[in-house]
Amino acid sequence: MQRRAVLRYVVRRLAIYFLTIFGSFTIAFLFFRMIPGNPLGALLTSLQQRSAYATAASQEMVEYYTEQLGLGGTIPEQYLRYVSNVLFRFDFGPSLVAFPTPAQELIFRALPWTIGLLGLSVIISWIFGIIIGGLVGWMRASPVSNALTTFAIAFSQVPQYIVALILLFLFAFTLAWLPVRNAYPANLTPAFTLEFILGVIKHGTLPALAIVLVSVSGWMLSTRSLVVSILGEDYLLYAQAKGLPRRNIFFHYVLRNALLPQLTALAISLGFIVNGALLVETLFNYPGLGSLLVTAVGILDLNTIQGIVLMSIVAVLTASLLLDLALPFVDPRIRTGG
Amino acid sequence: MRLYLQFFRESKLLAIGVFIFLLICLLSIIQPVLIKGLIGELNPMEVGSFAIFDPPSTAHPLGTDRYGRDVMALLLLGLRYSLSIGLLAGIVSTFIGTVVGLITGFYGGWVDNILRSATDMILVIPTLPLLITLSVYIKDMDVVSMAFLLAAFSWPFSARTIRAQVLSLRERSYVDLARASGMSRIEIIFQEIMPNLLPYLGVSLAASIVGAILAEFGLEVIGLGPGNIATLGLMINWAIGWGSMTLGKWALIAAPAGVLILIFLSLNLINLGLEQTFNPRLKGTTGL
Amino acid sequence: MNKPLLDIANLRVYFHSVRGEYKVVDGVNLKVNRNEIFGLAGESGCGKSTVIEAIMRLIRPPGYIQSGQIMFYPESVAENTHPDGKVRQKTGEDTLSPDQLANGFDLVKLGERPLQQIRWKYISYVPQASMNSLNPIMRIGAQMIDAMLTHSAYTKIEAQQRAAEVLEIVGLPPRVLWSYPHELSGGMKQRAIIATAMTLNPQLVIADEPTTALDVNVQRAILEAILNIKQESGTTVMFVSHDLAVHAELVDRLAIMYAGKIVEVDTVHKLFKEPLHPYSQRLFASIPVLGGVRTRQESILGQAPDRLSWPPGCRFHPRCPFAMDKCKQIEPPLVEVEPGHQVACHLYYDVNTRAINLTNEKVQNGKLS
Repeated sequence: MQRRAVLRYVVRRLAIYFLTIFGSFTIAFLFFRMIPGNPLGALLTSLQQRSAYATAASQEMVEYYTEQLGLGGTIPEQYLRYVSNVLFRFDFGPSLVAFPTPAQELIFRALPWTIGLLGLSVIISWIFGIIIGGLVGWMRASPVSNALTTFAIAFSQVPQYIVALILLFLFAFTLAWLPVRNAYPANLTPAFTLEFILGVIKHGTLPALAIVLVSVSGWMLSTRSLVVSILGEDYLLYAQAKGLPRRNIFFHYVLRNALLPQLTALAISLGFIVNGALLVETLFNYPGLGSLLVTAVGILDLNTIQGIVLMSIVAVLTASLLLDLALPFVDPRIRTGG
Repeated sequence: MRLYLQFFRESKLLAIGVFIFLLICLLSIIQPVLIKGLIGELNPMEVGSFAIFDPPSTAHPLGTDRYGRDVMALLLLGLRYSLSIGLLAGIVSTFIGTVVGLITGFYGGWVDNILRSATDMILVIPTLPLLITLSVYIKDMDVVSMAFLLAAFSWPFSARTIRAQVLSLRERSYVDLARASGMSRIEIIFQEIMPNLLPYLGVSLAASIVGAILAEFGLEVIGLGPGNIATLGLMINWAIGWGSMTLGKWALIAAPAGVLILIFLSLNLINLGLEQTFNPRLKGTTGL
Repeated sequence: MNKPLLDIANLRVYFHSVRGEYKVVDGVNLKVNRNEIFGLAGESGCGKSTVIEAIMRLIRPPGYIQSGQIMFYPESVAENTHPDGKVRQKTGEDTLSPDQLANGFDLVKLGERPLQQIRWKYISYVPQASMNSLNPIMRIGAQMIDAMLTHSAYTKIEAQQRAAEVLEIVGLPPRVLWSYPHELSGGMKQRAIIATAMTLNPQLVIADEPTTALDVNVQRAILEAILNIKQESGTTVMFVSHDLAVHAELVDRLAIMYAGKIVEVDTVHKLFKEPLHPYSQRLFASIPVLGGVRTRQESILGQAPDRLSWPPGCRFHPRCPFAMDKCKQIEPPLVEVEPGHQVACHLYYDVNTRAINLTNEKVQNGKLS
C-alpha cells in the first residue's frame, strides 16, 4: 500500500520532469528563432567588424553560416534537425567562441566547474542555514541570536555579486590572501595532483564564500520564521507538557518539521541561486558556464548560448527532481498518499 | 487609516524600511532638480564635462569618473532608472501573480493544473541566461518593455505564494458563510479573500521589486544595459573595467553598490516588518 | 488522606496586550480531591482552559501568572505503583526534595528542571483539540513512548508493551502504534492521546475538552475510556468541558466557572437537581431534555463580558435576573453554604452579617416570586 503510493509519486514526478525538459527545450528553441533581429545578420556584421573587411557578406559566407548554424529551412525543419542533433548526438552545433569547436565541448568543459562550485556552496549553505536558523528561532531573544539575525538580514540584502566584490577587494586585493581570478593557478595543468587540488580550493574559496554568505543568511532567516511558527503549533505544546528534554524537542519536533518545507524551498530556489552564481563566476573569471555565457553573448554565438541555456535548465530541473524524489523519505504523509 | 498607522507602531522594522524607501523614491523624483544643482544645465552623461578621475570634493561630492562625468549625477540618474524599472516590473509581476494565484487557488480544477504546471516550469528555469540572450538581440529596450520582460519571468513567485494563501483562506468558514448567503464568486474574492491577502500582497510586491532590480542589475553588470543612461549596474561594470580597484577609486564602485544595497535593505526591511506584524512571535528576536 | 491532591488558591492569569491586561483568570479557588473525577464547566471564554494551562505551567507570553498558588500534594511514588509493580522510576533523578514530596509544593513557583521531571510522571495532560497535538511526522508509538523513556527506566520494548496496554484500555488496536497521525480518525487520535496520558500512571490527569468536535458515538467511547482508566488505576481526573451533559455522565464533583472566577461547586447530582447560583440555574435550564413535557427553552440574556474590564461587583449582575443593588458594588465571595457545596452569590450569603441563607424566598425553583 505504501509502495504503490510512492511508486505513483515517482512515476508522476519523472513524467513531469521529462515533459518540462521537453517543453523548456521547445520554448527556448522557438525563443531563439523568433526574436526580432536577425542573428545571422548581426553575426556577419560583427564578423566584419572584427576582421577589418569592408566588403559586404558574400553569398557563400551567408550560406556557409546558415548551414553551420542550422538556420536553413523552415522553422519546423530547423526544429526537427535541432532536436535530433541534440537528443541523439548531443550536438549543439559548432560554437563561434572557438570555431569550429562544437559548442557542447565547451559547455561540458565548463559544466563541472559550475556544478562543483554551486553544488558545494548550496549544500553547505542549506545545511548550515537550517541548523543556525533553527537554533536562533528556538532560543528566544538572546544577544547572540539577535546579533546573528541582524547579520543575516544585512547579508541577505546584498546581491551575491556585490558581496563577491567586497570579498575580492578585501581578501584578494588588499590582503592578497587569496587569488583574484580563475579556477586554478595559471601555471598548472588540470590533473589530480595535490598541488592542483589545493590550487582549486584556494581559487574557489572566494566565489564559494560569496555565494555561501548570501545563501546562508537567506536560509537562516526563513528557517527562523518557520521555527517560530512551529513553536506555536499544538504538538509543540504537547511535547512540552510531556516534559521531554529540550534537545529532544528541538531535533525531533522542531527541526524535522522544518525540514520538509525547506527542502521544497530548496527546489524552488535553485533557479534563483544559479542566476546569482553565474554573475559571480564572471567576476572571478571562473571557467564555468557563467563566463562562457558572457563570452558567447559578446559575439552572438547562437549555438553556445542556446546550449548553455538548455544545459542550465536541465541541471536545475535534475537537481529539483532529485530533491522531489527525496521528499517521501522525509514526509510520511507523502509516503502513504495521505 | 488608523489601522495602518498601528502597523507602523507595532513594527519598527517596517517603519524604518518604509521610511528609507520613501526617502529614496523622493530623491529619484526630485532628481532633475538635484542634478541641475550639481552640474548646472549639462547632461550628466556627456563625456568630458569635467576633469577625469577627480577625487570627491565639494563641487563633486563623489568625484568624477574616467570620462569626466560627475559621479553623483550619474548615480541619481541610475537610481531613478532602477527604481522605475523595479517598481513597474514589481507591480506588473505581482498583479499577474495575484490574478493567477487567485484563479488557480479559488477555482481549482483543470485550470489550476495547467497554470500550476506553467508556474512551476517557469520557476525552475534559471532566467538569467534567457534574459541575457534577449537583451543581446534587442538592444536598447526602453524602461517599459524591460519592465514587462522582467515581470514575465518573475510572476510565478508571487503566484505561488498567493495561491497557497487563497487555498487556505478558501476553506475558512466565512467563505462558506458568504457562499451560503448567495454572494457570487467574484464578490467573495473581492470582499472576503482580498482583504486577508493584503499582507501577502505587500510581501510579494516588495520581493518582486527586489527581484526585478536584481535581475536588471545582473544584466547591466555584464554590460548589457541600455546604452544611453548610466544605471547602477553599468556604473559598477565600468568601474571594474577601468580597474578602479587597483587605482584606488573606491567611490566609483562603492557609491552605486551602496545605493543598491540601500534599496534592497529598505525593501527587505519592509518585508520583515510585514512578516513581524502578522506573526508577532517574531518580534523581539532582532532586538528591534 | 484528607489533603486534596490539588489546591488552587486565588489564581490570577492575565494576558498582556497593547489595549490593557486581559484578566482571563481572576481569582480562582478550587480543590481537587484524590481519586475523584472533578469537572470544570463554563461558557467559552470563561477561562477554564487557561486554568488548566496554568496548572501545567504551559502559559505562554503574552499570558502570565499574575499571582496565586497551585499547591500539589502528591503521594510518594512508592504508593503509586501499578498493581503489577511495573512502573519503574529512574533513581536519583528527581530534584524535588523529600520535604517537597512529603508536604506538597507550589506548582507556580517550581523551577524549570523539577517541572520537567514531574511532568507526565505526576501530572499528565490531554489537550483540547488533540487532533493537532500529535507530531505529524512521527509515528504514534514513538510519540507515546518518548515521554516514558525520558521519565522512567523502561527499555524501549517494555515501553512499547506498556503503550499497547494503555491503547487496549481506550479501545484501540496495537497497530495504532505504527501508524502516523494522518492515518487515524479524530476520535482515534483523541483516544491515543488519552492513552498516552496514562502510560506512566500519573496521579493526576487533566483533560481539556476531550469530547468537543467529536460525534456522539466517539464521545461515548472516550468517556468510557476515561472511566476505565479511573477504575483501573484510581487516578484523579480533572475534566474540563462546556458540555454539561458530559459532566453529568462522568464527573463526581463539578465546579461552574464564569468570567474568570468559580461561581459554584458541588457534587454533580446535587448541582443538577438544585443549582443555587443564578448562572448555574440558567445553564442547567438551557439543556434540552429528551422526552417529558415540552417546556420553553430558556437562554441566558446578554453576552459574556469583555475580559478587559469586568463589571464592578458581581460579574454576572448585568445578566442576572435577581440582581440587587449590592450586586453591582460588592463582589460575592465563594462560600461553603452547605457541606461540600460552595456558591458565590449575595442571595445566599450576606457579606456583612455572614449569615447563610439557603432558602431565599426570592429564589424558589429558580424563579423570582
